[in-house]
Amino acid sequence: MSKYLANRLLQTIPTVFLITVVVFLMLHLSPGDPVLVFIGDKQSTPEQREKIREDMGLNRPLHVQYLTYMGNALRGDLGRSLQTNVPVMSQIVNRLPWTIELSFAALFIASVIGISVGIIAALYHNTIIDTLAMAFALVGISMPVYWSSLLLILFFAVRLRVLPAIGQGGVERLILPATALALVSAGSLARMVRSSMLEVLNQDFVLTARSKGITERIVVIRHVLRNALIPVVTILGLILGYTLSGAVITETIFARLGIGQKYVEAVVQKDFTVVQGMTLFIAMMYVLVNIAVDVIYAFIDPRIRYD
Amino acid sequence: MSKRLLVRFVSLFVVTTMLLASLAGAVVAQDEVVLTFGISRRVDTLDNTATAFSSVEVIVGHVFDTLVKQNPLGSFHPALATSWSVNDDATEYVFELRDDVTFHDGTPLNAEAVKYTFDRIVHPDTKSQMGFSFIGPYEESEVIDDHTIAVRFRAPNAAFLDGLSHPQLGPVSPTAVEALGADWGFSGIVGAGPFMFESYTPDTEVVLVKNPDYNWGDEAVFGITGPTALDRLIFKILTDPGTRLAALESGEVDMIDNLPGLDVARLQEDPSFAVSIYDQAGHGYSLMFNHQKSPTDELAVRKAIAMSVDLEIMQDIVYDGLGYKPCSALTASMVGWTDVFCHVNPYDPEAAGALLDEAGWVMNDETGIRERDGVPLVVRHFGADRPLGNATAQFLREDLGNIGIDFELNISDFSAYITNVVAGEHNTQQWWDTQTDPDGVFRTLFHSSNAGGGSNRNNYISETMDNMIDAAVGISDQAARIAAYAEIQQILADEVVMMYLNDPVVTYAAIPAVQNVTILGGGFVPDFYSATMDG
Repeated sequence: MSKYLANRLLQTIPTVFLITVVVFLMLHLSPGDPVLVFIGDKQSTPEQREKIREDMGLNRPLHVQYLTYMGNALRGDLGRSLQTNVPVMSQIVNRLPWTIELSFAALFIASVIGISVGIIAALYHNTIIDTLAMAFALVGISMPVYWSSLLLILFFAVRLRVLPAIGQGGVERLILPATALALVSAGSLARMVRSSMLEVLNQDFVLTARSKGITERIVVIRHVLRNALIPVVTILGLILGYTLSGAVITETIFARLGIGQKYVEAVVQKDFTVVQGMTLFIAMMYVLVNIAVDVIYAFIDPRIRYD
Repeated sequence: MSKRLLVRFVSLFVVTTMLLASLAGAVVAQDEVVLTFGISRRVDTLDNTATAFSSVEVIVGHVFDTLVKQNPLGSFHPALATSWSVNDDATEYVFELRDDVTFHDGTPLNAEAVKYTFDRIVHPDTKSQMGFSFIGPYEESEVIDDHTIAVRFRAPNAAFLDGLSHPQLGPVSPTAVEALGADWGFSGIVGAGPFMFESYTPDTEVVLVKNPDYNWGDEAVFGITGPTALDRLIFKILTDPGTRLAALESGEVDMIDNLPGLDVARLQEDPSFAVSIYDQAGHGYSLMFNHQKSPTDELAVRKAIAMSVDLEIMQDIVYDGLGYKPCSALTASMVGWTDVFCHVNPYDPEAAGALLDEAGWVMNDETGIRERDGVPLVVRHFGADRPLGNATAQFLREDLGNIGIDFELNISDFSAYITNVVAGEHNTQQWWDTQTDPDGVFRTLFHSSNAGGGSNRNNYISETMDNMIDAAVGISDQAARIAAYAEIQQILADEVVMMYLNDPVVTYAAIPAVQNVTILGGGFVPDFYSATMDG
């Protein structure tokens, strides 16, 4: 296992390197000029624009820019934002913990709701309970995050005043955004768990287990669920990857610090240094989450071994 | 010591500490007067001299005091400067400074510090944006004695007092700027205002605390001179309109700006909130015509466009019924405003159509678009993808389509948009600005020095206009200066250099406890120095 892990970790290096090259090229080849974005609608002379371009280091050849950037990045210096002069590292360090907090809270809520609804729906297959559970899942998937976010704010923060609407810090500021973010994933999880359970429930070894006289509870938990969870873990990994990088709307509506919102803003503003720094981090997180998912497979399914 | 005894001792210690801490916390919490303001616009930097955003003024104006204060527009009061004199052609100003002022870090505020601030603004490394505009054709500062400074300009600058009243020209502590280096404006700022910097979390909040030594407030403007009644002033950056409103309604902020237009009426009827509305100064929402590109290089086309947009219906549909019908590049609250544009170019689509017929643009009944020599009348509009701008552009396309103009929409993200319009690819683009001096408005929009990719994206190049703008800013006599601006507005109306869509209002909503907020900057700048939190 440890050899496998070391191998996988080594493989991340070329992956992350390739991602930085692609993102760097995409940024520089897409239309739009960071100098003009910086000046915006303010008065400026061509000399000032040239001076700013020089200060941003954009007058040098592309490969020099990339190599300088990577050289500094390897020494831990991700530079400063072209648009606001804020150090990129501090932007990431200030934001990442909040994004991680939100992601894991959303993942937790989504798993609790999604897996339990899915199990119940499968056990009561083709009954009114199944129909209701799947209707719930459908609503969860279909409801846009910005809408459910606003509804949650309106009801719990404005009307009842029991939970705060904005900001981060403390469980009370986590509940609403995490729930809003979890609803979509909970819906798709519930459907996934249900269909995967139904598939396993129909297999011969379940019949064998039942015929041995094991109680239904143990059949479900030990035999069915454990087998049904393997595809679910894949989905959980995807959800985590999505929430870690894609909680843009939730972060904006709840005015939470986070990297998703900043990332999109930086792309729009052509803030090259911020986009590159955050890309490095997000790429590494994706890769690590994927490794974690593979490792978890082995724990759930004894048939999977990494030797 | 036995193990049990140790456990007891430790638990006793922990419990006592927690009790004391909670007591202390309660005492502090009760005494603190905190005002939290939900601000709608983003912050690029807290460096007052460098910022490109007029909204940053709202925050940094509390940290950086200015040499003069302006309220109402055109009326200047002594602040850090006790008196001043200006020569006849407005190229040299001499200021007497207060001798009892220190920056928050203890550095004395003297003529040397003011000179340092101004020199820093024009230094290319500062990359100053608004401050650079406000300081105009700055040449040099001369320290005459410790508290007297002369400021000289390469060209007349009657707008300098207006510039000085903005915190973008507020003196910075030279010691702090040198000490903080690149982190100035990010991890710290040090001025001589009624509030001191405590913390800044980018995209989240700015926390300021009371400056207890502040004793140089301007009574004529604020009604007080000593330290502020607030212990803490917090700006929460809330760019989403729905979130901002929810934060107010859930009690997490005490006041917000920029209400969603559709919620204004509802909040006005709700007794738990006080809504206030101010006319925005400077320049409103408008449409620029590129004079260097066909067909907007033709007067007939520009005039026909200006006369065929129903601005009253536009106000209801696009601007949620808020604002006023515009009649000038200046908003009505500005010194020098005239409504000549509305008289020269009234709403009259039929007359507009006749103008185009006369110019040879004849309607092709098959396409519904006018043509001349086989060339269809296409006006290429460029816009950044933003809700208000998109709604405006769609409305224009509708009204202009009615008289046979194909108003072609090119909407993209901001960086692509700005690249295109700086290159002059556009026939039209929208504009919005807030300013407090007429020179700023006219120079930004119509002076040829700002054409060709600068802020004059009308690309309007006229020696006559340049001379008139340069002459007007050198007139120290207010009445004569107003007359000069009336002439400028006559030409702008006759030539339909650009057209105006809406004179906006600035809206605020607060809980009733928030009292005595002073609104400066012609409506755009709430100042909390005099504010109180009753009850």
